[in-house]
Amino acid sequence: MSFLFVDRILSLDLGKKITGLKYVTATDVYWQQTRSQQKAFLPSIIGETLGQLAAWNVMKALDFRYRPVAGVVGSVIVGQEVHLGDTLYLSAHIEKLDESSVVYCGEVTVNGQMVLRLQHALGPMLKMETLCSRSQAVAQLDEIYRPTDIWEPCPGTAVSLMPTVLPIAFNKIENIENIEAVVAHLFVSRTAPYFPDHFPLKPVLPLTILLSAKVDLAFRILRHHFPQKIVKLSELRKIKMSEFVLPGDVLSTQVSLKILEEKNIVFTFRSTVANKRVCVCEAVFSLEC
Amino acid sequence: MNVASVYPKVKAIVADVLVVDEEEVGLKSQLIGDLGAESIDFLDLVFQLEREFDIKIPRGQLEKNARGSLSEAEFEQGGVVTEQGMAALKEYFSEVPETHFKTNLKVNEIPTLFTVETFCKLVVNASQQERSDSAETVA
Repeated sequence: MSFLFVDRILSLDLGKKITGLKYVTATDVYWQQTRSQQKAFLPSIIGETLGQLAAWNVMKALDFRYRPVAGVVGSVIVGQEVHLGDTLYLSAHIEKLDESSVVYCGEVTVNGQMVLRLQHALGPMLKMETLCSRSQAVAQLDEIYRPTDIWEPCPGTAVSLMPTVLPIAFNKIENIENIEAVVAHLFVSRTAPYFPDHFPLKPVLPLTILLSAKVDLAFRILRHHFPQKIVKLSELRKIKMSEFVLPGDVLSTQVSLKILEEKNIVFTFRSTVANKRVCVCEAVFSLEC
Repeated sequence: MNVASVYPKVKAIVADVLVVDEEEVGLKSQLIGDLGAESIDFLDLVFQLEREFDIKIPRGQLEKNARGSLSEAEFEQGGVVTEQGMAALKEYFSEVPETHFKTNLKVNEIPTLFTVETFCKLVVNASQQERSDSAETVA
């Protein structure tokens, strides 16, 4: 199962801007159940797709000697839901690029409507050969780099299809009764389908998978404490990945309540492996009746 | 612009980047030893300082500043800072107590010396460099 999401690169201005698209189809497995019982494509994976798009520009600009990895993201604003049959139009702008890091921002739309906006992303660079072979990365880009001004969005789904859902959640949740001090644990297994692509020579837990698990955890906490409310993720912010998480690691996450208002709630997440910080972030949710 | 004038903003940014209360951050606070900074935090910190102060801080600038006029061979041998290199470090990081300069300090351990004041000085130097480059361009 692939963890490469960009279906086609539409335009590439080396070191500056890149656009592309991704069709959301029944072969995708990263979904969340919405209140209306529809399935919505996970916002974190939409963010992953945008990050991968930016990374293609970066890798080509640096002649595939370096590859950016997840580092810091200032803010991810979540817009409308994405459903089966939608086409993601992706656009990433590189603000700063050198052999140590890249700074970029970007936006994803469906039919002109914003579904995700990413601001102030900073990715440190690693030598390509520590993550995957140069020739493999070059070949992968060749597959999808087919620039064009003319492209067709996927015309929705005429046939009722039930995509497979890959569950992304913490294995153990403690203390869910106390909204101010929930702790959850993730046992990272080598069998997870994202490891072969992330990365071929160094399998590490993708930041966006961890973020998906944190959002799922927050939804569970909110459903427990506010069962009558309609909960919507509106923003992920102050995201920082400081260490790789490897297969075989046990990742523990402490959830703290930062803000609780009538229509707005903010959680902070601090994840550690063997007591060493690996990831922090904040998640903002809206609460409606 | 001097260390005292930039310190309040630098302090706020350090607290934000390292996710600590501002009260925990002091001018003499060591970023790694006292505040728990990791390597990604230094990247984040430099990025935030560049944005806040509208300056450019080339990667490795602190080490370059500390090395001064010494060549690489004069500064370090086999990844360990030489005696000459240590003298240069002590002169540049004048705000760091003598006791923090351990014997046979490795080059990759230099960030353990960094304090909040170190980054205030970095901002001041980078701002002066920007102004000087602008003046040259105009001339």
